Formats: sequence, C-alpha cells, structure tokens
Amino acid sequence: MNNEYKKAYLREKLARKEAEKILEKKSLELYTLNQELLVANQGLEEKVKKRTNDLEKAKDKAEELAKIKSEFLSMMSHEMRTPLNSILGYTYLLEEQNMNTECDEYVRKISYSGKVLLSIINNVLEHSRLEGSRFSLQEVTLNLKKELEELCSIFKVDILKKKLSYNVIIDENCDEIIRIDFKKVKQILINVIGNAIKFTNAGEVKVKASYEEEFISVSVCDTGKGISKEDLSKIFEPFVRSLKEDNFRYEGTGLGLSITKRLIEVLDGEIEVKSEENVGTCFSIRVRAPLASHPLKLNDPEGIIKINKKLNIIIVDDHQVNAMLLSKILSKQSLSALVLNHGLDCLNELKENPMYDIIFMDLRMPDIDGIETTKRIRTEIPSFKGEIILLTAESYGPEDNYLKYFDGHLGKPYSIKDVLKFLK
Amino acid sequence: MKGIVFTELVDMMEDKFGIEMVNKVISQSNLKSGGVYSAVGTYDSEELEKLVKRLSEETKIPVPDLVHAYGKYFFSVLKNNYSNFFDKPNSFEVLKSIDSHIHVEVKKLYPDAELPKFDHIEEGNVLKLIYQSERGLSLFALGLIEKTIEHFKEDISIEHNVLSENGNKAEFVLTKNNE
Repeated sequence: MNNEYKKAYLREKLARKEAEKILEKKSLELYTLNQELLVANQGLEEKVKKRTNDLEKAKDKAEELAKIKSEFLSMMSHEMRTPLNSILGYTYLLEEQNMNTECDEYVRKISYSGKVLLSIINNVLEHSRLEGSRFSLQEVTLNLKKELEELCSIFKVDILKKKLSYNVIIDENCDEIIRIDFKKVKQILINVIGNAIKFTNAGEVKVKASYEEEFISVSVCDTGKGISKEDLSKIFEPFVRSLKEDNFRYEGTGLGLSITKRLIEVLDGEIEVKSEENVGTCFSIRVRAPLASHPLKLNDPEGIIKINKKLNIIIVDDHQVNAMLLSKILSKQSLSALVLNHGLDCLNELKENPMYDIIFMDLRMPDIDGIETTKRIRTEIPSFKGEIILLTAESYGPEDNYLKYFDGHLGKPYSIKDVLKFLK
Repeated sequence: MKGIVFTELVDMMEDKFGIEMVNKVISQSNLKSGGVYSAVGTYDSEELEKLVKRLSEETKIPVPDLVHAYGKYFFSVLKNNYSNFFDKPNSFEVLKSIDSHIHVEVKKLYPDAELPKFDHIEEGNVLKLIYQSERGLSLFALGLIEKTIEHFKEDISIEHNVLSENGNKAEFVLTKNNE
C-alpha cells in the first residue's frame, strides 16, 4: 500500500473510532436519561398509588357515611311509623263512627294526611333499604296482561278527578305467563304513572306496554309541564326535586324516581326519559322477565274476609296505645284479645292456659323482647299450638333472620285487612 | 458478539503483522459481514473463530496462543478507553468488580452485550475466579488477568484450570506470593 493510501486509510480509521466514541457517549447519555425517566416514573407511580389509596379511603369513608345515613333514616322511619300506626288506626276507627259532617270532614283530612305521611316514610325506608343490601327478589308467576290491566285501572279515579284523557294500550304479546317480582314492577309503575298524572293538568296520560324477548317494555307519556334540561340530568338522584317554585305545590320526598331507578336496576332493566318543557314527558322502562316454566298457580283470592269462628288471642305490646288499637280492630270483628305489656306476662299466662290460637307479639319490649319471648314459648310451653305473629314497625323481608321464629309478620302501620289475613 | 472485539482484533493484526496480513485474513475467511466492523455493532461470534483460525494458519502461531495474546492486547484497549475500571488499589479489587462494576458499565454502553460471568471466592491471599461463557474464551480472560496484575506490578501466580470440555467453564486461582 502506498503512503498516500495508508494516510487516507488511517484517517478513515480514526474517523470511525471518533464516531464510535461519539456513539458510546450518546449511549451513555441515553442510559442516564433513561434512568432519570425510570426514577421519575417510579415517583409518579408512587404518587398514583398514594392518590389511589387516598381515593379508596375517601370512598370507604363516603360509603360508611352513606351506611350511617341509611341506618339513621331507617331508624327514624321506624320511630315515626310506631305513632303513625296509632294515628291511622284510630282515624280508621273514628271514620267508622257516625259523627256529624264537620267532624267527618276533619277525620277524612287527618286520614288523608296520615296516609301521605306514611307514603313519605315508606319511600325513605325503601330508599335506605335499596341503598344498602337488605332487599331480595320475590318472584311470582303471573299473567302479565292481566296484572298490567289491573294495575293501570287503579289510576282511573285520579284521571277522572283531573279530567285527563287516559290511554292504556297493552299489547297482545303481554298475554304470557311470566316470572317476575311484580311487587317491584308495581312500585315502579305506580311511581311513574302517578307522577305523570300528578304533573299533568290538561291533556293526556298514555301508557303503552309490550312483551318481547323476555323483556317487558312500558312507556308512560304525558302532556304535562315537562322537565327542564337542567333538572332532567338530576331527576334520578335522591332527594332531588325541581327547584321551580310551583313544584312545591306537589307532595313528595324527591325519592320516588331514585327508588324507581334502583328498582329497575334490581330487575336487570333500564329507564330512559325524554322531556320538553310545557310539552310533556315520556318515560321508557324495560325490565327482564323470563317466561314461566311451570303453569300458573293462582294465589289465594284476596277479598273481604269474614271471621266466623271464635278465636283466643293475646296481644303482647308495651306500647299501650298501639295494643289498644289492635284490640279495638279485633273487637270490630267481635273478637276479644288479652292485652299484655311484657313478654314475661305472656309466658306466665300461657303456662296457666296454653289454649290460645294467635299471639300478636311486639318485637321491642323491655325485660325480654319478642324474639326471646317467642323462643321461650316454643321450648317451655310445648302445649301451646297456636300461631305467633311478629308485630313491629321494622320493615322486614324474607331475608331477615328474625322471621324464622314467627308464623307471620304484621308491619306497622297495618290496615284492618292486614290484621284480618291472620284470622282466617 | 460486540463489534469492539472484532475491531480491536483487526487492529492487533495490523499492529503485529501489517495491513496486508489483515486484508489477506479477512478476504480468505469467508465472512458474512465481509470484515466490515464497527465497535458499536454486533456480529456473529463464528466470524471471530474464523479470523483467528485463518490468522493462525497464516502465521503458524497456534490458536490458543493467539487468543491468549489477544486478551493481553485487549487490556490496553480497556486501559486507554475506560481507565476508570482500574481506579482500584490492587488487581484483586479490579477482578472482583468485573461482574458488579465493569460489566454494569459495559451494559450501559451496549445493553445487548452478552458478557461472561465471573464469580469469585477470596480466602486470605488467594482469589479464585470462576469463568463461565458460551464463547469458551478463557484464554482471552487469562491474558486480561495477567495484564491487570502486571498493571499493578504485583507478584501473583496464576493457575488456570479448564473445567468443561468445551472450555465454557474455567477457574483462575490467583495467589499473592509475597504474603
């Protein structure tokens, strides 16, 4: 190789080495930057972790507060239902008396307001139950068309009073035997149709129902005052009522639609609403209801019950006003009852004479409560063959363990019809 | 195998045997890369074997001797370019830090480098290094170790034992003689 080529070769070789050094330097810089990025990323991950942790804590706290709120509402509702039982019961007894027209009018107003108050309390209680986990599905087998027709018919009186047009279209495909917790469907539709009537002063309320592919679809449309865009996004939130002044003319807790939505979710369904102010509102509801696999088994027909037999009854309740009320209701059926205020009194009485047919047993009592008393009756007095009915202002479902000790549950406030069911 | 092993081998050939020998060896070795190497590239280790074998044939120097000599030569490359590797009080400290420091630094520059593993056991004045590599270049390592000891001007004897047939595992027992 001649000298000139050798020089050029060496020059190129040095250039390559120089380039390699630059590349190495860049690699090192890249490594350093990468490490910094890793550290920053780690810091970021720690921040996210901390933030997630904080959020979880806040969520737990919020859930705890919601639970406390629900328990408080549930307790308050219970406390209110006990005196309300007396108010409604005695009002009923007063209505039965032949008083002068003026007094009749006052009693009717007390009765009406009492029922409104009861409905509000029931809503609050229902809401707290649905917020928590104390609910379950009680599916029944039924003919959908028949039940929907019956349900829609209960609004006819209100429709007539408001001079509205009422258009109910129940599709023929509803004529199917299905299984669903219809009590919840009733609650949903009573709420939505009731609202439509409540907020419509002229025009029409239209209910349209159909059944397809295991889903019940119901639309409830009205020509009422409508809902503003602002309110529309919030109507399913609890305790939300339209802030418009004239809305305060209408009774309610602002819980109805929140309960409705929750009930629909429980039934694996959905609800949609479209509304235009001063034009009307349309609710569309879909809930899942499979076809029944067994033939329809009819429930006992509910009707007027006449008690023809003589029954030996005990009422055990420390709340004397309520105990007297039940006693009065029974006396209307020419039945008498022994009223006792303590569980121990009941045990003593049964030891002397176990030949009673029914015991109405209050839950919360001093000394020993209704459950303890019932357990002791079952074990200590085997000769007692009658039924023990739990009598309480608590709201119970079949999921409650309490009920296993009793033959039935009579919730306060109770109607005459409720009481008579146990006397058949 | 990282390109620096190839570029420095070519440089050594050039230094010791001249550029004509480099051209001859490369052109007769039937290399996939054509002998075009860059320190920052990665090449098939088979090419290194071909180059050394060809050089051995040309120079009549046995392959093990060439590999050993290249290890010694490579020490100067490390010393000139990465002197911080040797900022230690003695050779034992440098050799003990091969895995924990030197190879960590190499990985920073060449994340895909496949490096041999050096375990060590130190007992009194004896340091045992266990070499493990798929390349089986323990003689190259021996050259580097010898030059490291020479760098620190220490009197240390080295025992080199190949522990596996393919030469992938070997041990170096280093004993300080003046203690």
